[in-house]
Amino acid sequence: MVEVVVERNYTDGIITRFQDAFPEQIPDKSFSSQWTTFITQLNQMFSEAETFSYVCVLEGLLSALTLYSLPLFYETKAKKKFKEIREFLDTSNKTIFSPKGMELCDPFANGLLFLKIIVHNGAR
Amino acid sequence: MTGKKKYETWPGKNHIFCHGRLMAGGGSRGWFWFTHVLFIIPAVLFSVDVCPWLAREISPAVVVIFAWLTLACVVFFYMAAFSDPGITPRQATRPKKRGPSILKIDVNGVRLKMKFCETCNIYRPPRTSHCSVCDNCIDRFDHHCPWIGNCIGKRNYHLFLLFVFTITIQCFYVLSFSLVKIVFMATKDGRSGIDSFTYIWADSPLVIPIALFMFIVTILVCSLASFHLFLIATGQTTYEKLKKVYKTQQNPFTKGPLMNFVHLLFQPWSPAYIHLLDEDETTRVTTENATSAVPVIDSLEVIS
Repeated sequence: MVEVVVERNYTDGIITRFQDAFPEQIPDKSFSSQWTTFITQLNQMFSEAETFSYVCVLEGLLSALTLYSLPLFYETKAKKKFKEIREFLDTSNKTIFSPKGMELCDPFANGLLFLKIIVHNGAR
Repeated sequence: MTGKKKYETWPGKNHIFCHGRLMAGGGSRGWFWFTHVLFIIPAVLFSVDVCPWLAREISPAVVVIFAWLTLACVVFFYMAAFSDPGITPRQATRPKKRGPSILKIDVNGVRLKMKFCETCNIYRPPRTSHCSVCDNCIDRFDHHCPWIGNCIGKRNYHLFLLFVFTITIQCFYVLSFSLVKIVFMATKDGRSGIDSFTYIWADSPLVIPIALFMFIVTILVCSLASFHLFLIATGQTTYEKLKKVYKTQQNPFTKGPLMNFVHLLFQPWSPAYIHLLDEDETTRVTTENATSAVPVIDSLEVIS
């Protein structure tokens, strides 16, 4: 069993972004194109979830003025985006990683510090 | 058989209440209750002594605004006190047995160091620091606030700011209207000098100590609010200012005073990494070790 760790990419600041280079420890080299699609989409989704826009300002302002009773009824855009990210990670694990004998661990459990992929024995 | 919940095996020094539903910071809870005393006493005295007079002489709207400001202060205070500041979960093992103690990375062209945290077993991302009072690594660590009884970090800095700004406005408001009452009573019916003082002291003695107390408190909260406005303008955290991080080095995180202010006060929601009500998998009892916990009666000697 091999544990592959993909670190964060901090070159553009502390926005959540993972290194997009294909991890060398993954034995199946034909996985490269699927990896690129996956990591590009993941970074794009994080970028959208953490983006700052007029919607953010409006939501923040209304939340503060209503003494944070607004978030009880209304799901903010960022919260929706993070939900989509979790679903995307779950789906990717089932459709991309599992068929190749790999397991994508939940990055939220480690505080989005790294992506851990477990390559099970006999994965080719 | 399920093991324990994460709040039962929490490794940090945080105080956890209501069976894992509320988490505050570590350290003494005394200061947290002292803040209540400092807030409640003038609010009650003002409500009892000055508010009825204000409603009569000026307008009930003045009292309504005071009530709203007080409620806002209380709400923001409790939200800041019991919110997750951005605790980074501990890792069970070191990432590499003999890895370096410092990693060097480039952020927006500025070279920064990521130090290894021995307690949490992680390389701290930029702006993350370990709070020794709570014993956790906090994302965008600002400071540990004993008055609130929690750390201030990425996830609750905007709540802390709202609390500080609202309480500054509320203090100014209470001070101003206390002074309005004093001036009004002092000059009523053409009084002046010592007559004014004796009239106020006989008719409404509380208003003078309220005004004096609020004068001192307003200066203090105003200083804190100004300090944080300065930090926001320069794009620093309290910790970075105290450690003089950007004295010699360029700050790669600042976007200019106005954008910093807007970004910090209206930042989008970010998820908490800690879920205290989840099961702690390391305490899960499997069927194998469950049987070993049951005493084997056959081996007991029969005592006749």
